[in-house]
Order: sequence, then structure tokens, then C-alpha cells
Amino acid sequence: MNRPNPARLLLIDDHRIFNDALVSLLSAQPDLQICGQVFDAADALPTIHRTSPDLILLDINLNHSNGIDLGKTILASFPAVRIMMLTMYNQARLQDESRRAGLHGYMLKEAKTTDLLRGIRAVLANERHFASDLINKAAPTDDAFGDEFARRLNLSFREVEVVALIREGLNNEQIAARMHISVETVKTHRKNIHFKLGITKVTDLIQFAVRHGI
Amino acid sequence: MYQRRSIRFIVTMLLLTGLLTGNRQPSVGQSVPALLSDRRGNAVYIDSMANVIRQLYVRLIAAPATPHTDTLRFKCLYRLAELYRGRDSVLYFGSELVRQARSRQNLYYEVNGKLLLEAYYRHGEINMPKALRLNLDVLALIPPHSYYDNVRFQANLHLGSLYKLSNEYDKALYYAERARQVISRNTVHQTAITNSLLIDLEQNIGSIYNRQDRFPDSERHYLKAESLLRHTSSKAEYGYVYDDLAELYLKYGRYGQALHYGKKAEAVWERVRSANESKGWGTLACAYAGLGNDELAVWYAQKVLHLTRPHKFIREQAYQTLYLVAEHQHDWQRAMGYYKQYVTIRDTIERDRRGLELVTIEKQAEYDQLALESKQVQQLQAERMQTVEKENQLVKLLADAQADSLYLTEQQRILDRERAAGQMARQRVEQERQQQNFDRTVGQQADQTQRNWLFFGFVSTLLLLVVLVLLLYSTRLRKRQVDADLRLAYERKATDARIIQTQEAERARLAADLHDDLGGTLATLNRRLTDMQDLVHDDAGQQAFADLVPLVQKSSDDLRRIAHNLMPPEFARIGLRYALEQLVRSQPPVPTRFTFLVSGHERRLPLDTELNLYRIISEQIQNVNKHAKADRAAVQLLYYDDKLTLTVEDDGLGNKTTLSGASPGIGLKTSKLRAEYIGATLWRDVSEVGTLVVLEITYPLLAHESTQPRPPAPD
Repeated sequence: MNRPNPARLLLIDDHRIFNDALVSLLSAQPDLQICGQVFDAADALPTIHRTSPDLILLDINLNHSNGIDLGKTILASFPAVRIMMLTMYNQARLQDESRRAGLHGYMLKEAKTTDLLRGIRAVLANERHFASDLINKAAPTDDAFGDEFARRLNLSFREVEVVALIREGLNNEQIAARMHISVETVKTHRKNIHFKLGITKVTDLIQFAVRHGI
Repeated sequence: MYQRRSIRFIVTMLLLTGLLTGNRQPSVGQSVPALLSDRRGNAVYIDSMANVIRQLYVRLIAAPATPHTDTLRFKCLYRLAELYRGRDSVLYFGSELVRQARSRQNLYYEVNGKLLLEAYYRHGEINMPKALRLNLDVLALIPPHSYYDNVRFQANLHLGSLYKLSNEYDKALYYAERARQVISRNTVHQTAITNSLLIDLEQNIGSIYNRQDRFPDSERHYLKAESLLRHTSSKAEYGYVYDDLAELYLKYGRYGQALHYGKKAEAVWERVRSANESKGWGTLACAYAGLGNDELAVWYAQKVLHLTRPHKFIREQAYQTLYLVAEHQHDWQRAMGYYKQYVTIRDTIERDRRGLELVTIEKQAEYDQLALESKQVQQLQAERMQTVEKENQLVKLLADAQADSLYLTEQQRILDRERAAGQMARQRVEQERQQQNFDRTVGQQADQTQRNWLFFGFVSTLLLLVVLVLLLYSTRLRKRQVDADLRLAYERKATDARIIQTQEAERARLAADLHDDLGGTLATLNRRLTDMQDLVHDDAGQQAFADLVPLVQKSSDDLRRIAHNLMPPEFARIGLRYALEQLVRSQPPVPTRFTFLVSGHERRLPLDTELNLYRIISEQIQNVNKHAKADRAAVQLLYYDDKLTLTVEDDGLGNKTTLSGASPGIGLKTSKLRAEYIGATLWRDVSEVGTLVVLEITYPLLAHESTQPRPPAPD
């Protein structure tokens, strides 16, 4: 779609160099126009009122106040504006929080220029845009050590061993002797296993072991 | 004529854009035309603007309410109230804005609507108590974080000047000081805006002192305002500050200095004010009259009187000057005439001021009454209770007093009786003494033998006592020693805790600096490089860039890693569980394969506790990496109902490491110290098949149940 007017962007970031660099980058785009720069959280609301931006690019760490909270505050008084977090924080958790706060996008400051522009345009076109390659989004890769127990049953390798020995009918002392660990440690493992599986009886545990082939 | 046409042109343009943008989707408020401040004086312009905005507003009301139209509507109302500044229409538009914004729970516009109303009441000196109440309202409405600091500053400043007008200088100074705190708390870099706020503030404080006739304080603050001027670009600010200084010096008869600043102000106003406004001439006239330069004094006074509608303050100055000059020249007749006029104006001003003061005081009382109504009722009740109690007490006291007086007469009789009894007793004692004297001579001989026995008894008890005292002393000494040891241990622990805290604070600061500041710069650099690469077309250039880019990328990665090791970014926000998960996930798969397990409902612990748990576990992970030579390792968090258990297990060398000489000594010691500091238990089972570390902490009694971290306190 060919916009009659360029979209108005407001940059809120206390990092002056980054802020200025972004201005020179974005104002080169014919469909974007920078309507203001804010370096201090206290100036954000008055500037939004004055400049009426379509989209705000917002940093997370702003003179020790939090950008996500500011985003929420902005949306409370300017519900029609769109907000994209642009941050150094490569954190899925923060991205989720931004999403829950009703913000419209989350991108990393080190994103490539083309990606950044694509994200900005997507949000301007009423889409939501969240970075897909944040660190702890990545699921653990394939498992060379048979730790599928960990994933499937939420048990550690030691706990699996303990379950197997309980299934053989060994008591704490015997398990301790077999595994070369202290009785106290065996007790700790058993307590944790019971907690995790939500069971209280040994018979249940043995059934569990049989069912899962431990 | 030309102006007319241009205005009409603007109006049609605005109308057109208003119509166009009315149909268009986002662009919040783009269609509400901005106000050109330099045309404020132009009534035609104002009216036409108001017309355009009003039409837009009517259309918006008819349209279905969406977030977009809401914002536009609020903006229209705000702009209209702004346009009609100083006129009664402000009341309508301002109240409407407040009402509508409140119904949509839009804090920003509610607060700003109240500020518009406040300005209307305050500037026209129409209803000062209402202005006061609005400011207090606003302060109560805005949340404590810094996003509303501009509003907080304004409200405090207004309160300062309102209290100044009602002569309550302590309160005035209190609010001025609060305003200052708002600016100083969050501005790292001084912007032009904060600077003019500061100037405003200094002028305000200066004038508070001036009203109290405290010349040195007033002068100090005005001069401070003057020194702040060099950062400002607004001419008017210069003018106002110079005006203030000139009038202050005039008031205290320092005509030389008054003239100096009066001249400066005149130079500024010459450029800013229109032909029909005074440019500080009244002050100049007075200053010249004070210095005895009659000619110039009269010249300036005449300039004032030739203005079409000079303000009463300036007229007062002009007549005062003329009267003084006439007096110098012993022209008593004219002096008399001018004096009469001067006094008339002065009295009007004084009367107005008094009237205002009275009104403010009166309304202030009304306000206080309203604001403190419930409190007063409570107080009244409490007082009534107290009065009742006091009455009871009084009655009791009265009864007591009567009883006392009765008692006194009774006492008198008793005394007489006792005196008689005493007489008799004395006689009896005399008789007894004679009897005793006789007895003593008989007993003395028996005593002699007894005394010997007593002597031995006494000496032996004395010895026993000495031994006892010695014993007691030694135990006391031992106890003191133990106490001292305990205290020392306690102090050491306190020191450890302090060291841990300081270290964490320092790490957090360093990590934030690195991550945010340097990181942002590197990201910019990286982007610039890749963008520039696209502009270079020869192969050598391309190669040079291709070589550079990974370097920057690597430094950026390194920086992230270093900062992360110092302190996981936003730890307070993401919390222990996610920080640990991230840490475990970031371990390389070789030589040790880590797994991460969580069970139970995540609970947040105090930040300090979570951070130390994180440090202990990451220390254990490092130990596994450094010493264990393990194939597998698992880190788990178990959120029990009453406690959190964290375990780190590995299938590594276990107690065989100690045989090979490498021992995780210092790390373990600090881990223990940290565990002790947060009240957790840490134990390890090191066997020949690996190590299990268990870290347990019971939830604090008043645990913050929510997973929401507390926001950093702004105050």
C-alpha cells in the first residue's frame, strides 16, 4: 500500500549514540518519518502528546526505569499508538512480558537493518512482530546421553538409577551401597522423586518404573 | 488583508487535512492542528483554529468510540482549552476533558485537564483555593514512578506560588523544595527543559523570600536563576529574571544595581515585546529617580504614561518617580499632584492584594475544612471523648480534694493523740533503758567467752567469701571471653554480608554499564558497518568489510558473555528460575552434558536471596566444569510447598578429585558463606561415582507470593 503520509516514529532511548544513529538510518526511508527523540523517561508522555507518533521504538533500560512498564503506562493513556521494544536484552522472558503487556513488537538492537525495517513495517501494518531467535527459546538439541528421561519424565540420571534399584526391591542401605553414595543422599533422591511424580507409596513408584521401562 | 487571506488558507488546509485524516486509520491525533505560539495574540487566528478543532470534535463525538477517536477527542479538548487560555471557555473544555478522560481511565489527560483548569483559576487569580485543591488532586493521582515527573514538578511549583500568595511561606518553601527534588532526582543530563524549570523554581523561591523581606536569601536565589540563564535560549526567560533582580534592588534602595539589571531587561524586552508594552521602563524610571538623574527618570516615566493601557504596577512606579523628581526640584505643587495619584494607585494595589489575601485565606480555611473534614470529625470525637474523660477526672479530683480536706482535720486529731501517746512512750523508754543498763553489766562477762568463738567463725566465713568471689570472677571472665568471640564471629559475618552485598551491587552496575552502554554502541557500529558494506562495490573493499564485521560481532558476543557472567541482565525481572535455565542452557555440550529440571510451582524469593542462590549454583556448575570430568550433570529446582531445593549432580570424579590434588577450595568457601548469609543449608555428598550438592532454603514467612518483581523504588 502506498501511504499518503510517511508513518511517524518516536524513539525513546537514553543511549544517545544509538538513538541518533537510528534517526539517520530511519529517516532515509521515504515511508518513515522521525517525529521525535526522547532520552529521558519523564519526557515520554508529553512528547507523545505533542508529536502524535504512529509507532514508538522503546528501549528496556531507561535511566534505571523499566521500558516495559513505561510501555504499559503509555498504552494506558495513548491506546492507539503502537509500541515496539528495541533492546539489548536477548531474553525470551522479557519478550513474553512485553507481549503480555500488550506491546506490539520486540526486536534486538543488533538486528540487521533489513530485519529491523521489516519489523517496523510489520507493526505499522497492524501486525505484531516478535524476534524469533532469542536465547532460551531454543529447545535442547538431540541427546547423546539418553537424557530423554529428563525430558519425558522430569527425572535426573541419578534419580532414574535410584528408581531402577527400588524396582529391584532394594532398600535405602542397599541402594546406597550399590551406588557408592550415602544413605542420606538416597533419601534425598527418593524424597525428590516422590515430590516430582506426586506419589507417596513405593508400589506406585514401582508401577511407574514398570510403565516407563526403567 | 494579506494576513486575512493567509489565515483563511490555513484554515481550509487544516479543514481538509482534518477531513482526510478523519477517515484514515492510525495516525493518532495528526489531524488536531498544532498551535503556533507566536500567533497567540491574534484573535482571528485563535477563533478560526478553535472553529476547526470544534468541528473535528463534533465529528469525533458522532463517530463510534475507539482508542483512536478517544485520543483524538482528548486532544481536541486539550487544544481548545489551551486556545482559550485565560478565558472562561477553559472551564468548559477543561472540565469536559477531565470528565471524559476519567470515564476512560486515561490518567494522562485527566491530569492535564486538571492542570489546565488549575492554570485558569490561578492565573486570573479567580479562585486560588480551587487551584490549590486541583494541584493536590493531581499530586494524589499520579503514580510514584518518574514518568509523571513533569506533572509532579508543575503541581509542586504551583502549590509553592499559591502558598506564597496566601503568605504561608513555610508551606511555599516546602513545595518549592519538593519541586526541586523532582528535577534533581532523575535528570542525569541537564536538558534545556529542566534548565528552564530550574530557573522558574529559583525565581519562585526568590520571590517567596522577597515577600518575606529577606533580602539576602531572595538575592541569592535570583542570582542563581541568572547564572542558569546561560544554558537557555529563551529571550523571555532572560527578561523575567532581569526584571526580578531590578525590582528587588529597587525595593532595597540599591539603585545602581537596579539600573544595571533594568537596562539589561530593557534590552531584552525591546526585542521581544510589542510597541505598546512597557519594557521595564517603570523600574528604570524609579532607579534613575533614586540615583538623582531627574531628566532620564522623567523621560521613562513619561514613556510609561504614554502607553495606552499601562499596568497599574508600572503606573504606580511612574507616578512615584514623577513625585520624587518634583520633590527634588522643590516643585511642591506638582509633587503634591503626583503624590496623590501615586498614593491612589498604591492603595488600589494594596487593597487588591489585601482582598486577594483575604479571599485566599478565607477560601484556604474553607479548603482546609473540606480536605480535613473527616479528620476533623474524628479529631472532634476524640476531643469529645477526651473532654468527657477529663470531666470524669475532674469530678474524681474534686471528690479526692474533699476527701483530703476531711482527712486533714481527721489528721489533726490523730496528731494530737499521737503526741500524747509519744509522751507516754518516752517515759516507758526511759524506764526500759535503766533496766537494760543493769542487764548489760550482767551479760558482759558471758560475752567475753562468746566473742572468741565468734572471731573464728568470722574469719572462716571471710575466707570462704574470698574463694567464692574469686570463683565468680573467673567464670565471669570466661563468659566475657566467649561473648567477645561470639561478637567477633557476628561482626565477621556482618562484614562478610557487607562484602557480598557490595560486590553484588558493583557487579550489577558494571554489567549494566557494559551491557547497555557499550553494547548499544557496538550494535550501532555493527549496523553502520554492514550498511556501509552495501555501498562498497570493489572486491578489496568488500573483503575488508567482510573481515571487520565478524570482529565487531565477536566483541559484541564477548561483551554479552562478560556482562552476563557479572550479572544476568534484568535478573530482578526474569528471576532465579529463568536465569538458571539460561545459564545451564549456555553450557557447551562437551565434555559435560547438562540437563535442567524444574518441579513445582515457581515462587519468587527476595531478590537478594535469589541472587545468592544463583551464585552458589553457578559456582557448582563451574566446579563440575573445572574438576569433575563428568559426562552427565543435572541441575534441578524443586519448589516444595515450604521450601526450595536446588540440586546439582554429576557422574564425575567425585572424591577422586581430592586425590588428584585439585580441590574446589575457595569457591566452596564463598558458597558456604553465601548460603549462611541467606539462611540456606548447603551440603555435598562426594562419592567415588560423582558429587551431589543440595541447597535448601525455606521460604521466608512473608514471602512475596506474586511472581511480579517489585519495581525499583523511585524515591
